[in-house]
Amino acid sequence: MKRGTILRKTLVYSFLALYAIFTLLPIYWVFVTSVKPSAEVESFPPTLLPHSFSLEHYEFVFLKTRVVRGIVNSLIVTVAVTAISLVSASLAGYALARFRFPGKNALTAAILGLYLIPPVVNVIPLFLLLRTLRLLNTLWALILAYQALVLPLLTFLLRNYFESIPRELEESALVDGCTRLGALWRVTLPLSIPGLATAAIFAFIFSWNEFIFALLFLFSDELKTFQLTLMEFVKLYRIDWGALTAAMVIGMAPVLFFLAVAQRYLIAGLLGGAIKR
Amino acid sequence: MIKGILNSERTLPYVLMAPLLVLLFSVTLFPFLWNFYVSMHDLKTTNLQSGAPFVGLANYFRLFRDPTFLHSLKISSYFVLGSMVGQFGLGLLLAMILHYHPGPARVFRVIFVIPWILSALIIGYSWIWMYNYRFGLINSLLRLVGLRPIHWLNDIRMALWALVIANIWRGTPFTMLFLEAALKTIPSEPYEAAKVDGATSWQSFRYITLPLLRPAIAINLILVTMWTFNLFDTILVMTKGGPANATLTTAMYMYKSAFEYGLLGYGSAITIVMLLINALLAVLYFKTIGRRA
Repeated sequence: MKRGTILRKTLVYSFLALYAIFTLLPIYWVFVTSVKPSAEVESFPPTLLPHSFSLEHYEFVFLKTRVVRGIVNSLIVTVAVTAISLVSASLAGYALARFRFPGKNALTAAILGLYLIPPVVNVIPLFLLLRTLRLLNTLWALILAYQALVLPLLTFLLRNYFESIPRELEESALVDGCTRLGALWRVTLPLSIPGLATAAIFAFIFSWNEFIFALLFLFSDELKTFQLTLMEFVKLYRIDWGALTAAMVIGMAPVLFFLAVAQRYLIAGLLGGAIKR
Repeated sequence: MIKGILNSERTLPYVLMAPLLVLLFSVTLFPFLWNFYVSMHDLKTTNLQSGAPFVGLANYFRLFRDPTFLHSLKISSYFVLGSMVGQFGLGLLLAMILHYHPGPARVFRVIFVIPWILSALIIGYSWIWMYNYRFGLINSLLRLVGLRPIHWLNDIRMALWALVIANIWRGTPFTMLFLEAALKTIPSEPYEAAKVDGATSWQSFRYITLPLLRPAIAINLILVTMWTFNLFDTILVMTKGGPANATLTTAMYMYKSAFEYGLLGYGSAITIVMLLINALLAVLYFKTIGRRA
């Protein structure tokens, strides 16, 4: 019995370790390349551990490329997307969590139905719509288009969060003479900060990572979002792997940071979007 | 007047829903409906200004005589099947391990989730670099153990499987998390009863866990199929459908038709066919959820 347990534990741990290596290897390879000096990036055979350490690629990326401009553009889009989606999703989520009203079930089903429309299906009409509105090649194109990606998920996430907050707290505020909106603002929202933070992180990650809409809706170099600036390191015959991997590490950093600080909430939210009706 | 609307319990919920509904109407529902109209016109990037002629269902008829489109359906099914087998097998195994070993689970779970939240562009470039013929890590490892290096992304026979491996890497965390959450909902009583009756752990997995997990597994497989079928971001980054259309999935063909060849109406018809396939899967999804409840 005991030998069996030890054997099983060894198997389990070695499988976990192997899968962790598989998961981390591509990321490790990118990171290690980004801190090798240029001569070592493309030396044959490649070095698994860098022989010498250098920040030259980061210096190049920050000083001599469009990456910083891309980060600024991405931040503008991200902040606007987060603000707009958070406000509208929390108001709607609150209505769905707290009120009974005619048409509520139909609206819930409609929002879920819209969530099931894959973005790839809508990309052509969205392109035509933004063209008609003369919003192509402006950051507004992305700010609007990204709402389609984040709104339904955020609405369900926040609805579930509001449902977890006891009604009684609000009701006592109403008795004390607060209006409904006053109670939402003073009682429920302050208690929902973890939920709102999770929603905001989702909106951030989605808009920071997206690049298909950005690629199709923006044409000017000055408007390129961060992800698009990564593509500038890929030339027809040559990829500048040192600079590209450095820029990729910069791109992964905020996402990994949020995963580290809000792991539990993010995992619950990711699943909530798929399971909850 | 405004105060009355905001304070009345009858009207307030509609006021609160309004911003969301307006946004969803304009960025999702309206484009969705417009798509049907576009698919019935011969819209091209060259006649955007002058207006496109109405062609009825011609785009659809053309689609089913287009050998490249039929080829793309075949590539898509390989891509979906390969990704699904890998993601599901690994995801279930990892979910079981994490569920029964809560100690190491805390550390490993957060590592395993990483690929799921990275951008498709970064995932694509990371794997191009891994697959690089001379300087990539994978060929280095092959050389280390004395095997011949492979032209992963430039070889017609290898490219699709190289994409499948990258996609398994990216998608397995979702299946793992999903099935782990489903395992948590299984009560412990049946296992205790089985133990008393002297069941082996394989037997309790085969006769208790699997049957109870079946609805969750069905939903998971449907979601993964849908996402993998619609996916083209990493493919666009890594191979653009090449070499020689070896990785041209249906979603990728849509992208190329519309935005490289400029055939917007034709691309739009492809998305409608994709939508029908998705709708079929969604019906399955709701049927499964219905049976579960």
